[in-house]
This record gives sequence, C-alpha cells and structure tokens, in this order.
Amino acid sequence: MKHRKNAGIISTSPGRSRIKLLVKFSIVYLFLVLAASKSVHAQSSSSTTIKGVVKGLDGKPVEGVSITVKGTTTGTSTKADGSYSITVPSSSSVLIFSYVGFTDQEIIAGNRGGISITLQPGSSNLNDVIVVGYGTQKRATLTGSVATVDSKVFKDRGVVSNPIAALQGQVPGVIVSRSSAAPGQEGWAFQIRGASSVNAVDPLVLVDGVPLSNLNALNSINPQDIDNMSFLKDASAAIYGSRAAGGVVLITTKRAKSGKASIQYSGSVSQKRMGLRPGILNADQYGQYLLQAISNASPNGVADESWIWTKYARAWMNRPDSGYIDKTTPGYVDNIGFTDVLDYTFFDTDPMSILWGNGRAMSTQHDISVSARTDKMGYRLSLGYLEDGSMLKWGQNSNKRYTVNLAHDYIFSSKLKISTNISLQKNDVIVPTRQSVIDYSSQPGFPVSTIHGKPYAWGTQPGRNWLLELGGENKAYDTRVFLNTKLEYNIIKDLNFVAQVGYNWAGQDGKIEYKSIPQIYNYAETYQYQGNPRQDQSWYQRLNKKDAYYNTNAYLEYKKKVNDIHSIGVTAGVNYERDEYDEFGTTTTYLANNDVPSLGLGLGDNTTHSNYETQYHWAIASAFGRANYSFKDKYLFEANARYDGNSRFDANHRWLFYNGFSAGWRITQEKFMQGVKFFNELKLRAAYGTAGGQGGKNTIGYYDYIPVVNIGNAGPVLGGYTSRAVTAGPSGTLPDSLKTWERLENKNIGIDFTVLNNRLTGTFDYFWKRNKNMLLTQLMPAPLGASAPYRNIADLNVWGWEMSLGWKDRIGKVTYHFGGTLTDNSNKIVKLGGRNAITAGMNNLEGYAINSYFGLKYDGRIQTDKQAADYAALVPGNGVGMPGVTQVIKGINMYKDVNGDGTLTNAGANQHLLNKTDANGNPIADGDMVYLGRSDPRYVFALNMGAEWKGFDFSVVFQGVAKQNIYRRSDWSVPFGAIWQGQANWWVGKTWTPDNPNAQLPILTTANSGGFGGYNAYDYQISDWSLQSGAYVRLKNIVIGYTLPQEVARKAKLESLRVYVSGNDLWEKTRVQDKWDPEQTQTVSSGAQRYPFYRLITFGVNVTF
Amino acid sequence: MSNHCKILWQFHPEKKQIKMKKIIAKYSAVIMAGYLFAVMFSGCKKALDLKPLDQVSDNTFWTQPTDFKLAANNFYGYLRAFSQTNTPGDWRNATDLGADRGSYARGTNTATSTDGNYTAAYSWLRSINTLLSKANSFTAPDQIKQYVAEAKFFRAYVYFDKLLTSYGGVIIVDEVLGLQSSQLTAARSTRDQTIDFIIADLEAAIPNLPLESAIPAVDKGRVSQQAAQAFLGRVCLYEGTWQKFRNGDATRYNALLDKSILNNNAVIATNQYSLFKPSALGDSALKYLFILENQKSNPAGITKSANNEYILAVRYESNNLLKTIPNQISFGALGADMSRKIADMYLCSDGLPINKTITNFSRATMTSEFQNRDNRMRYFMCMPGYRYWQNAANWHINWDWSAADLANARQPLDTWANGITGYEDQQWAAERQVPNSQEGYDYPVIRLAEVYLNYAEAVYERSGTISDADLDKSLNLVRLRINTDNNMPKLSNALVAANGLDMREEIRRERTVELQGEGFRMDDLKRWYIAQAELNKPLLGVHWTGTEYETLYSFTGSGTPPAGQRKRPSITLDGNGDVVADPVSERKFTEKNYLVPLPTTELQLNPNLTQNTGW
Repeated sequence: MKHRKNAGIISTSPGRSRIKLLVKFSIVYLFLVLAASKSVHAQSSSSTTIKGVVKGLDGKPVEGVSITVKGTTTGTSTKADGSYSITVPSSSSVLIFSYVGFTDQEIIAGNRGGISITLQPGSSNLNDVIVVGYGTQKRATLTGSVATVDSKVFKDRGVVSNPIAALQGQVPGVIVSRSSAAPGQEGWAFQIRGASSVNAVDPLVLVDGVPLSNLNALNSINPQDIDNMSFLKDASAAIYGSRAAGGVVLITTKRAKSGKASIQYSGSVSQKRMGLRPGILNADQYGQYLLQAISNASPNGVADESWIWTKYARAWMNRPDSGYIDKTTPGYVDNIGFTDVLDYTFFDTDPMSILWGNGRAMSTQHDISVSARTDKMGYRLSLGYLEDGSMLKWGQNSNKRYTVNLAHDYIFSSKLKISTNISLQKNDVIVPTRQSVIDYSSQPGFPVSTIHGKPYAWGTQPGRNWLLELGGENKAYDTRVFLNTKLEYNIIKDLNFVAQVGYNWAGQDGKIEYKSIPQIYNYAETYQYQGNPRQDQSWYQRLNKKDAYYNTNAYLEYKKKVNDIHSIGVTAGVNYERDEYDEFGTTTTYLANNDVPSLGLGLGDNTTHSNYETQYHWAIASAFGRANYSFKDKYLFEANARYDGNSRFDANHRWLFYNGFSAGWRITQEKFMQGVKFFNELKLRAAYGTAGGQGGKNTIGYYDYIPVVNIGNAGPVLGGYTSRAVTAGPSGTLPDSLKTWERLENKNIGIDFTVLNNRLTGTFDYFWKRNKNMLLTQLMPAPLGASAPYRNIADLNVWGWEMSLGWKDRIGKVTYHFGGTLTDNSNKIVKLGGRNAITAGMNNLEGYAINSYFGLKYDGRIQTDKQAADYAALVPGNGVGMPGVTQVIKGINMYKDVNGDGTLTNAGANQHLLNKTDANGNPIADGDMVYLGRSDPRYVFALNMGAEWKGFDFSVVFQGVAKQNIYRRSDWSVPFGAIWQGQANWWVGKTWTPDNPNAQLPILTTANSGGFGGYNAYDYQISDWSLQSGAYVRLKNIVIGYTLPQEVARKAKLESLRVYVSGNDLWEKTRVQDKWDPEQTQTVSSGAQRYPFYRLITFGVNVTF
Repeated sequence: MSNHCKILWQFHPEKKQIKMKKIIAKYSAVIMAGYLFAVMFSGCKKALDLKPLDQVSDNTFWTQPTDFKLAANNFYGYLRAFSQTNTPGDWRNATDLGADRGSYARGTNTATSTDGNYTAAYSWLRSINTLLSKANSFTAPDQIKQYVAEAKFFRAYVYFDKLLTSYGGVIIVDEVLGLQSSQLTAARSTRDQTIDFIIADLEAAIPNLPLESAIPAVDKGRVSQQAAQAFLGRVCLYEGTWQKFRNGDATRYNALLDKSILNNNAVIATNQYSLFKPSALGDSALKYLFILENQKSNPAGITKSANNEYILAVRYESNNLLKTIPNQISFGALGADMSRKIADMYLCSDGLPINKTITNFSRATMTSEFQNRDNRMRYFMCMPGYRYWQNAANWHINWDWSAADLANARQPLDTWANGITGYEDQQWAAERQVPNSQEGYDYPVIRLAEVYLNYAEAVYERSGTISDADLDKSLNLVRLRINTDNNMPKLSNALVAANGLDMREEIRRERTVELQGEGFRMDDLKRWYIAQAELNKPLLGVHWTGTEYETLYSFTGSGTPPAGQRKRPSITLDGNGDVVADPVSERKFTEKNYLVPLPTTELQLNPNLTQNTGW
C-alpha cells in the first residue's frame, strides 16, 4: 500500500480513497497517518499564515466558506470576495474547507503560503463510513439497504428516556410506537419494514458490536452517548443470522475525536403539558344522560324506577346544593338503595383533573463529557443525568437515570490496538403500587377528599387518588454494567485479526410495598371505614433480577485493492454468546408498619410469606463471514453468511445456515454517464438473503424440547387447615423437538441518487419478505388435552416500499434543507397451518393481513317501526349481542345479513371468509362476518425542514400515519360503557334521537338496565361502523436555536455556546373520537397506559469549553 | 483462505517474486487463526446443551410414591367450587329457583366457537391419564394404589360433571395422546359407552380408596371410599332416571338404579358421616353449615371440626388468606332474588304443600307466607323487614342480638331493593366480619344429605314405591333436621295417601329445597325431563294484588313518599296479580337445550365429530 502524500489531498473524494476504508478501526491507517505526520513534523515547526481565495465551479468567489485547522479549533471563513487568511501552527497542518452542499476538502498547508481552491460539489455522505455487521463500509460502495442516523437526532429533544423515542419519523422503514406516557414505563418499541412474522419479532440491537439481550436495556442508554446508528434492513443483516429477521440495529457510541481535550456540557429543562385530554360529563349532564340512557335501554323506553341506578340517576338530577347526602344523619331514609355506603356525593369534579391537575410536570437532563485524543490514546468520559417528572399529582412517580461511560482506546504498537468501553447505567423508576387504579375513573361525583381534607371512600371504594397517594410505592432500581473490549491486531499487511468480548450485566432490585390504608372516611367524616386494605392485607415484596450476558467473537478481516480496479474484502469469524437469567422474590404480608417496609417486619405466621425463583439460560454459537468484491467501484458484489446454533432447540434442529447476496451498480461511474451533469450519483442495488427469527418472545421457550413437570405450591387445602398442598402436573404445552428457527427470505431492490449538484438526494427501496416456516401453535382438537407446541407450520408474505428525499441548498446567507420519508408495507398470511377459527375482532386468518379486523357490516339505523319489526326477524337469538329479541328499538344500528340466510349471526364458522365452498361449490352460508381492514398503520410518513442563518437555526419535523383502523370501544369510548364510572362527553349531542335521526351515534343507552341488557355491547361491537380512523399528523419536533459567533464565545472563554428552545408533539390532527392520543395503544388498558400523552417544551444549552 | 490467495496470484503475477518467508508467515498466520477458530467453534457447539434450571424434568420425576401423591393433589382443583357455581353463563348455575333470566335458563344460549369447559375437561384428563400411564411402569404399585384410585375417581368425575352432563356422549380418551393420535379425530362415544366408562373407573377406584376413618389427619380432605361410592350413587341415579324418563331400556336403567341404591346404602351403612345439627344452633344449623369457618362464624362458635356431613368438599381457609373463596360470595348471595317457585315449594309445618295445608297459609302481609312453614324457608330466604348481617359492612358483632349487634345489621330489609321478584336469598352469606372474597367456608361437593336424598329417589324410581323404613333412614333425616320444634310430620306412605300427595313429587320437593343452592337443579330438571315444562313457565315474583305489597308500595308521585308509603316499582302483573319477573315470551327452552352444543371450532378441527341434535 503506497501513501500518495504528494497530492496533498489525503482524504475524501470517492475515487481516491483507499485509506479511509479503514477509518476508526484500522490500525494500518492509524499507523500510516502517524508515520506521515511524524515525518512532516521533522520538516517544519514554525507557524505560517496562509491566504487564498475560494471560488465556486462558475469561477465566482464564494462567501462564508468555513476554514479550520484540523485537530484544533482555529478557524475562519471567507469574505465576500472569497478571500481568507489564517495562521497555522506548522506547514504540516491540515486545512479543512467546508461549505454546505459541497465536499469537504482537506489540504496540507505546506510551505506555499497561499492556497486557493475551487469548491467541488458533492454530497459528503457518499464518503460516510457506515457501520455494518462486523466492520465498516463506505456508503458509496454499499450494496445493502442500510439507513443511518447520527447524534444530531438526539440533540435538542429535551428529556429522551429511550433512544428509540427520538427515531420517530427519522428512518425510512422504521416504525416507532410507544404504549405509555408514564415516566420510566413508556414501552418504546419499533419495527423495521413491518411485520416479519405473526409473532412479534424485535429487531436485534447491538451496542458497539455486542447484542442487547432484550430491548429494555435501551431504557438505560443515554442517547447523548450515541454517535450513530445503522439500520440493516435487508440481506445485509444476514450476517447476524438467526436473530436478524426483524432487522438489525447497530449502535456505535461516541469516542474521542481527534484534537485537544474538550469539555462539553449540554443541559435542558423541559416542561410536560398534557396533550389531548378527554372531556368529562359535568354533574348536570351525568344525571340527565344516565336517566336517558337507562330509559332508552328499558322496555318501552320507560325506566324501571325501582332499579337502583334509576334511583341514582334521579338523585343526581335532584342533588342537594351541598353536593352530598350523609346517610348517617338520624332519621334519613335511603331512597336510592346502595346499602354498603354511608353517603352520596354529587360533586362536579372531573376525574382527569383530580388525578392530573393542570397536567404539568418538569423534567431535566444534564450531560457532561470530557474527551481527548493523543497519538496513542483516546478517551472520552461522559456523565449523564436525567430526571423525568410526572404529571400525576398523587403518590410518588419518577424516573431518574444516571449514566457513566468511559470509552478508551490505546495503540500499543503499530500492530496492536485495544479499545475498551465501560459504562454504568442506573435507572430508578418509582411508581405508585396501586397504579392500575388509573383507569376510566371511579363513580362520578367523588370529592378530592373529605370535608376536612382526609382520604375519602364510598363504601368499599376509596377515591382513586388516595389509593395512589397512600397505597405504597413500587420501586425498581435498575443497574446495568456494560463492558466491552476489542482487540485489533494487524497480522500481516492487509490482514487483521479482531477479537471482542462484551459483558452486559443487568440487575434490578425491586421493592414493592402494598400499604394498608387505615384512615378513610365518609365525606362528612362522621364514620371511619374499616381500613382498605387492612393492615393484615398489606404486603411487601423484594425481588432481585439478574441478567448476565456475555458475547465473545473473533474474526479475520482481509482488505485489498488491486491496481485500483479490484477491491476485495473478506471477513470470517466465530461467535459465542450466553445469557444467564436469575430472578427471585420474596413477599411478606401483614406489615407491622407502613413506614418501615422490611421483610422482617411481617406480623403473620409462616403462611404469610411466599417465595419464588425463576432461572433460565440460553446460548448461541455461530460462524460467520462476508466477502466483498468491487470492480472499479462500479460493479459491487457482496455475499455474507452465518451458521447459527441455539440451545433452545433440540440438538438435531439446532443449526441453521443463513446467507445473503447483494449487488450494486454505480451507473454514474460508467463512461457514458460522465457527460450527464444532472446525476451526481446513481446507484442501483439488489439483494437477496435469509434471516432467522425466534418468532417473538414467547413462541420459543428455553427448553421446549425437554418434557417437564410443573410443580406448584398453591394447591388444595388438604390435611389441617394450615397449608396448601404441593401439586405436580404435566406441562400444559407439549414438548417439541422438531421446531427450529423461523427463516425469512428477504428480497430488496433499491435506487440511490444524488442530482442537481448534490442538492437533492433520494433513496427508494422495494422489498419482499417471505417467512415460509413461521412458528405457530397448531390448533389441535381439545381431546389432546394440551396446547400444541409452536411448530414451523405457517407462511407469511410481506411486501412494501420506503422512500426518502432530501434537498439541501442555500439562498443568500440562509442555508436550508427539507426532506421526508414515506413507508408502507403490506402482508398476507399464506398459510396458517389450518388455524382458521374465525371470531369477531382482531384475528390472523389465511389470505388476510396480520391483525385484520373481522366483524359485522353496518346497514344503517332503525328509524321506523317497520324496520324494527323486520330487523327483529333477522335476530331470533342474542347471537349478535342483541339484549332481547322483543326489544328491537328505534335508533340502534342494523347489521347486514351478508349471507342472506335470514338470520344474523357472527358466531358461525364464517367459512366464506376463507373462500371455502361446500361439496357443490356453493359458498357456505354460516355467518355474517366480513373483513373490515387491517389494524397496522399504513403510509407512515415524516416531513422535516430546517434552515440556518447567521447562527440561528430552525428545524421542524412532522410525523404521521395516513391510514389506520383502530377498534377501541370500551368505557370512555362508548357512552355509558360502564354505568358506574365517570363518563367522557365526546358523544354529547351526537346520539340518535327521533329529532336527530341522522346522528353520528346510535341511541344513548346503558350497558345494562335492570334485568335487561342495554344496547351498548350490541351497537358498539366490532363492525365497519365502530372502527375508527387512527390516521394522524403530528408536529413531532420543532427547534429554534442560536449559536454564539465563535469570536464572541471565545471572549467568554468558551469554544462554542448554543441555546435552543424545542417542542415535541406540540400539535396534531386526529379523528380519534375519545380524545385519547392516536399514538396510544389500540386497547388502552389501565395503569401505565392510562397516562395522557404530553407535549414537551424544552429550553436547552450546549457549551463546549 | 486458499481461494483468496489464488485470486491474488492471478491479479499479481509479478508477486511471484515475493520471498518465501513472507508466504510462510502468511500461511502460518492463517493456519494458526483457522485452528484457533475451529477449536473455539467446537467448544461452543458443546456449550449449547443446556438443561432447565428451575423445572423438574419429566424423565427424573415419577420415581417416588410422593411424586404420585403430588400429581394427585392437582386433581382436587377439578372439583366444582364457588368459582364455577357462581359464574354467570355457566349452565350449571342456571335454575328456575332464582330470578334467573340468563340464556341457559331461558334456552337462548347459542353455539360458541370455543368452550372453556370442554377444553379444560380434556386438559384435566390429560393430567389424570399421565399419572395412570406413569403408574403402569412404577415398580411398587402397592405404594401408589391410593393415588391411582384417586386418578380414576377424578377421571370419572371429569367425564361426568364436565362432559357427559353437558354434552352427552363424548370422545373417550384414556391415555396420554400425542399430536398424531387417532383419538384426536375420533367420533363421539355413545352416551352408554361414556357412562359405562365412568362406572368402570369408579368401581376400579372404590376398593383401593381408604375408608374415611382410615384417612389420617394430615390427609383429611382426600377422596375416601365412601366419597367414590356416593359419587357412583349420584352417577347411576342421574343416568338411570335420564333413561327412564326418556323411555330407555328398562333393564339398563333398572340396573343403574340398583347400583345407585347399593352404593348410596353402602355410604349410609358405614355410619361415618352424620348430618350437621349441633343442638346449640337449633333450627339455624343448616344456615350455619354453609358458612362454617374456623373463625367464629356462628353464635355457638362451632368450627369445621364439628362438620361430619361433608363427604367431599373443596376446602377453603380465610386465616392469613391461605385459600379464600375467590368470588364475592356473601356480597352476591345476601339479597339475591329468588323465584316464586321455590318460595311455594316449601312445605307448611303440617307437612303439606301450600295448596293442601290446613295451617292458615296467607299472602296478605309481606311476612305472612313465612309463617308455619318448613324452617328452611326462614333460613334460606330473607323475610321483609327483618335485619340481616353481612360480612363486609354489616357483620355480627357478637351474635347476641343486642342493641349494638342489631345496630350493625343491615337496615330492615326491603325485599324490593332489586325490584325483580320480592323474594330474597340468604344462603352462603357470611355474618362475621371478613372482607368480600376472603371468606373461608368449604364448598360441599358431596354431602350426606344428598346421599340420603339420592337413596330415597333411587329406591322409589326403581320400584315405584318406597317403604317408611327406607324413608326414615334417609329422606326424613334431612327433612326433620331443623323441623323438630314445629313438629313437622315425617314423609310417610300414610301422609301421602291421606292427603292425596304424590310420593315422587314429595321426594323431588325435598331434594329441591335441601340442595337448592348447590348447583343440582338444572341437572335434575334435565334428567327428569321436565326442563321444557318448568323453565318455560313465566318467572314469577310475589303476589301483589290485594296484599301488603300493593298498599305499601303505592306511591306513584315524584319526590319522597309520605311516611308509611314506598314508591311503586315498575312491575308487570299477570292475571292473578302476581309479579312477572320474566314473561313466558322470553322462555324458550326446547328439546335441544337438554344438551350444550359442542364448540364449533372442535367441529372444524375434527370432521368425525357430530354436533348435538338441534344445534
């Protein structure tokens, strides 16, 4: 390998770089640079001033080109006439000329005294070094579909509790979702290129080459320590073999950059503000509508006045001015009839306000890092702190994260380099133990507290706020230790040996206290209820989780360029990894004291203690390799392969081979394109590969092939009444020795282009995925007596496309950019192993997409008596949820008798949905369900734009989903979904009445009424009418920042100073009726999922010293 | 690596000049590395054989008698318990004795795609068959014969209680099936085959089960020989009458009835059980039997050790939450509506039904119909205006009916609080202070009273008559348990003859009244083949017209009623002035409803499976 230093330019432009291929990880490169710089050092050491002019391709001078001395912070920029003047420490100094939209040029100062250059258009990203599996590649010659993001996406976001949070809308083909807005429990998840299985398959995430054993670990990774992320979306992931079906994400953490020591601080303070907020019926509305709903649901529309809820509704309508009735008042005769309560309260309170107050909370994040690099050594030490506040006004709720990272590398000799990362991450999450009471609220009218501010209960039902406040805390203290050492050894020229050992230890110390609540009262405090829970029902649990994972791999890496024509690269290695999980917990009940929870302070006997322990382990061994060949950087080929064995399968089905092939053609390198100015870069790519999946978290156990006996200690009470019997029984799932990995075939074609003087770049990919041996539990006849194990019996077809476009340019002194991504994918279940039982709701069914909805077809609303009579004939039973056949009333939905058999039913086999026919070839008329659509988001898009002007910067990201069906019909999504709860008000005025026959919603009824059912379950059951659109567009992020001019900053002894204001999720457009956030899960359950989503406004500062 | 080198040679012919040394260095480096990788890789391969860390392998279990005992313990969870009896929508809970307007009582249930009862039954059978199959290869069969017998008992129990009584004849699985087993797609066995299989299992189990007296204290609660005999008696009576009332083969049903008599008699003859009637509890003995706990749960402080009536029970214990009943039993039971049918079924104290009594039976006031009746009426039902105690908010403070005790009781009972029938229930409601779902009284799966009643009915149905002696040794013990203070006469052939009664009806009445809250009624209606007649009657509540109800609940204005009046509930009355809680138009029980439909998914999965007639 010759070093062509005579040219002066040692970097970057595509045709010339042989060295840059090995940037960062190649000791050869480092050695040569060191050698070169040493030799130059010998020549000169005096400082000189360099002058020159910078011109554009048109020969006109360019103003504002930035010129810096490499490895220092010295810099200047060109004036209006394109001239500049800069003092460099020595003739060996390297000047970097950079200008938006043009290639950076690095030029050795030398002794010329003047350097004038012409800017070369060029999108610098072609020269980016992309981290791929076991190595790096240059973007220009990449043949796989690999998307990348750099550390910028994590800047300016305020508190980012999980790196995934910042990725929404940033990466084409990557769909990010979250299940909660509760601090520390957000449940961030993401999917690359849609489903690859009916089983939930997580992407494989590696940090500095070491896989995370589960995605929860991302919660404790400080995004500010991430330098870049690569998303391997197609065959390029095949080198990760059996776990790559969901795609592979490679996270590279920050290391010291070249140059002198620098200290960076970034800090931000954020305010959370509740976003979408469901409105609640006020006190007047509640009584009025409850009575109306009961009446409508009652025979002949007349409410049963003796029914307790009718009486309750009337009590609301005639509620006393004081807002409450004290039943303990002497002589009071209860005409309502709730026997176990001591008062009735009718306060005009809003359960949302009680729990969330004004919906505000403060969060803050601080990060400081020190980094430096010398000839032989680089280190970066960073400290991070995050405190995530909660909008919840009751009980303790917080998430704190502390991170320490040390990245260190040392060059021992020209042949040997060792890099080490050590990080410690601590994550403390505290939530109220009774968090699950956060649901659709309790009975309406509850006061915040009793008349004198004490905890209130209505009979056996304490106010939810007091359960949160007094019920104790669930504290989870997570600690992660991540050690990663990598050795690189240059055996001989072009051949390197790399070995890596990673150890990832994750522990959780859990303390859960379920406190007794001894002091609860009726509103007037005339009566103190029995403690709820009582002291003997209190408990305290300690649990300890330990997940120790290690990974060791070693590979040989050979890279060679022959005659500037043939580039060859070969990588081959082995890998072994193992995970040991151990969890145990112990619980004691009947605590002596609420304030001092301790396992030793339980008052009960031995039966009040319980213990559990869970242990498992797994291991994977692999061999892997990759070969690249490119001809003149024009025709590009790559092959990779992996042979994986997993302890979770029977030895005979343990090993599987995966491989991938890809090719690229850089058309712009062809001679016939040389004259075509329009294209700066045009590359076609194609790839085919296989990747494995373990079929999600629960489809493959750790020892499924070994028959086990389940032993339990919660059996019947036999003998004296002092203990429960130990039981033993066969496992409920049959052992299986036949199953193996899912195997996904992945096909991809793509095009990358850069046009119009590098101003417009774009990528388009179309992909097909086929999972022919998807794992599924075979549905077996009941006499088997056990669940069939997962088998490789199903077949899924997935296809989709993704595109991204970006434009960068400059108008006068304003540089700006805008761009966007658009992603869509579809899938179809080709075979489901005969598992085709069809029920209403979300199902997987042969011939349909994963998570498709099935239900009845809406057929208008009953407006006339004749319609009612005709319709009654269609529903002879209660098969479709009709409360009573004699009770078909006006204002309820009608559904279509699709098969025309004169009976409406959704319980049949519905074989017509599978295109099954009877022996005579006629459709089987056995049900009226129809396909309603799929639930997964379609056309996920993002738009971003930004501009910079004189130190000011502005950027904005919109993100959204253009098409999605959601079925969320329970409680607050249905009027009087549950009769006893506070009610949302979104439906007021929208329900059918004789005067409003074209109303959006059916007649207002309750879920039940006396002995008769109401119509809620019937009307709001799944149908094409009850599905809602989950489409939305949202202002994901907006940032306005200002960077102090360097001259000014210097005066303050700072290298740089930037301040910014940013906002997340500030605005959205959605049509979801119940005003829960469109990003919230489709079936919002209680607890963490019930935290309203928030908007985040951040003020932050970045300082470099 | 040699391939790569070849390529190099082709591209670089001039490199032939390279020194040998360098070549050797290169190759040896590559060979060394390759060797290293090969060693590592083979080591890794072995490192993939991992065994479970927290579970017992099936291959190492089943070696000790205790292993079989632990497996048998599991079966006790299959017994019917509060969680099933009180599950809405479970047909076993359907009845005409309460205000049941559910789909099973109305006959409007539909075929479902899956049925948890069906699936659970076969999964339990798998556990049972596993024990039996492992027992075959156990070296000391004598040491595990009790657990093998328990397994057979429970296999019979599941086939009868879960499958036969629901679906009729079913696929019989008597071994541990694999994914390829042909039985998975077998046709259903006939009803007779299923019953014979059940009987065979029980008869095989009986000799190897211990007598109640032989069960040591540490094993109390396990299945005794008598429990199996009693259960066999129940099965044979069920099927014998089922066949008899459907004009089955007389030889067969008589043989079944004989077997029932024989086994019920065997239980009675051992004299190891006795009805619960401690004198300290007087006529409230039966009431407190159902809520008997080891904590003070009755005025006399009597605990479970005094109960020799339960032959097989699901045992609960409230203390320290060991195993508490899982549902809000007391909460739901006290005040639950009862039907006119059961209210009228109680005999008067002269041993005659209300239409024949010479006591002054009257419905004039709300409590008058409770006068001069079988004492069980007062203790199964609530009387309007009386006070009742309940676990969570209105517990008995000290059972002395003092002012403090009364003050903590519920307000004087308004039986119209639910507004359905006006009759309310008090069985199963705890009176001591205990939170809902934490009560600890046992659930009787088989109790001696049922054995007595089974015996009497089997004897009568076998021959069409029953002697006074047979009545006295069985049914009359049940009837007179708490009916001695009112001098209720025994059921005798003379009483029947003198008053124009029907012996069969009186035996059925006794059974219905005594076992009313224990899930027998629907089975009885079905086997007697009278469900169509009984369930299709309108569900009635109290008699309204001309009674105190009409005058008291007379206020029809708005606002608070004046003293002495209550708001008139919205009720429907029939021509007799009776409250109609569920009109006849809603009662649609037909022939097909005698069996529950098989889940449709099973029909799809097994083409040889046929649906029950009419579904």
